[in-house]
Amino acid sequence: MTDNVQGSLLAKFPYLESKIKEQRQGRIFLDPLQKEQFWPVFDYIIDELGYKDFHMLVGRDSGETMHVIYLLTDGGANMLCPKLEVEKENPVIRSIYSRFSNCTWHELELVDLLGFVVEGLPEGLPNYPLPDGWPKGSHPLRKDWKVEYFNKETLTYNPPSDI
Amino acid sequence: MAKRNIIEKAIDWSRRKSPWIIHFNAGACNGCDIEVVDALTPRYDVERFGMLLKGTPRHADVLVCTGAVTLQTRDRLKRIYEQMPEPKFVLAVGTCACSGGIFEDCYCVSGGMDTVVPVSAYIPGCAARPEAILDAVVKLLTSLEKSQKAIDN
Ligand code: SF4
Repeated sequence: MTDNVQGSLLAKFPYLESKIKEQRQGRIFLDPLQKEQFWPVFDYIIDELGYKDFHMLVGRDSGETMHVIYLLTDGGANMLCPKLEVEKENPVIRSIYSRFSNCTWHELELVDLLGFVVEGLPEGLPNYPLPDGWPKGSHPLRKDWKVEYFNKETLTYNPPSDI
Repeated sequence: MAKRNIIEKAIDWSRRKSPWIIHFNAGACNGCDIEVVDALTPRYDVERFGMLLKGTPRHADVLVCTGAVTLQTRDRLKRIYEQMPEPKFVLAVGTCACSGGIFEDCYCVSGGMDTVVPVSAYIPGCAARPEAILDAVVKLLTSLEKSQKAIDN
């Protein structure tokens, strides 16, 4: 069944050549894709290949770029993980709220912990999961964020100015 | 300290015989909370020592607290502690509550329970076993009894 998945992905999107990895039976990972290439693949995986269950999503700071890894399952034991790559300077992504309304707290985590800008999230959601009063523009899961420069008493982040 | 009169003695006696507790999770992974629940429910049954779980800090004598204190719960923990009537006691359940445990130095964790409120008894263990919790409770009550006797003599 998963061979068909790889075959149909390749037939539809030739640019995925050598970007599909099956780590083990039923665990397919795609290499990070830019957004123009990513969203058609994402829609195809859900609408045509039947990976209709949104499991979770994970944000990642790879150093030069930022990744979002979407874990989609087919309702059984098979999982397909496409990855979206965005620039670190401008980490804007589109919310998948219109498809999966349970994505909100995952995407809020991206916003708080990694500093993504998520377009299309509903208005009025609280900040999550960082505490109230957390300094704006400081994202603790970014690689360049250092706990030594964070003051827990005053909730301020003061990196030395040459960084 | 002045000797206690008969009414004070009765109040102290009843406090010792039936301390009411409130359970607060300040950022535990839930492991210790399950053990607290285990200690409360019929298998270990702290109620046989007269302990009773209350839903509000205003009725409680003992704050049973689990987990490292996160920055988000820091003020809430302080507020709960302040709402409890004197005299009040704090049990830090689990390694996280004692010292911050594996979460110490995490960016959103203030540290152990004693970084925020004074602690009467530390119960180490990850998770702390129900027997250890019972032991701490009994030791706390015994030391209370001793100090009350010391006042009278
Ligand atoms: S001491 Fe262990 S079980 Fe208890 S809250 Fe900490 S990590 Fe969880």
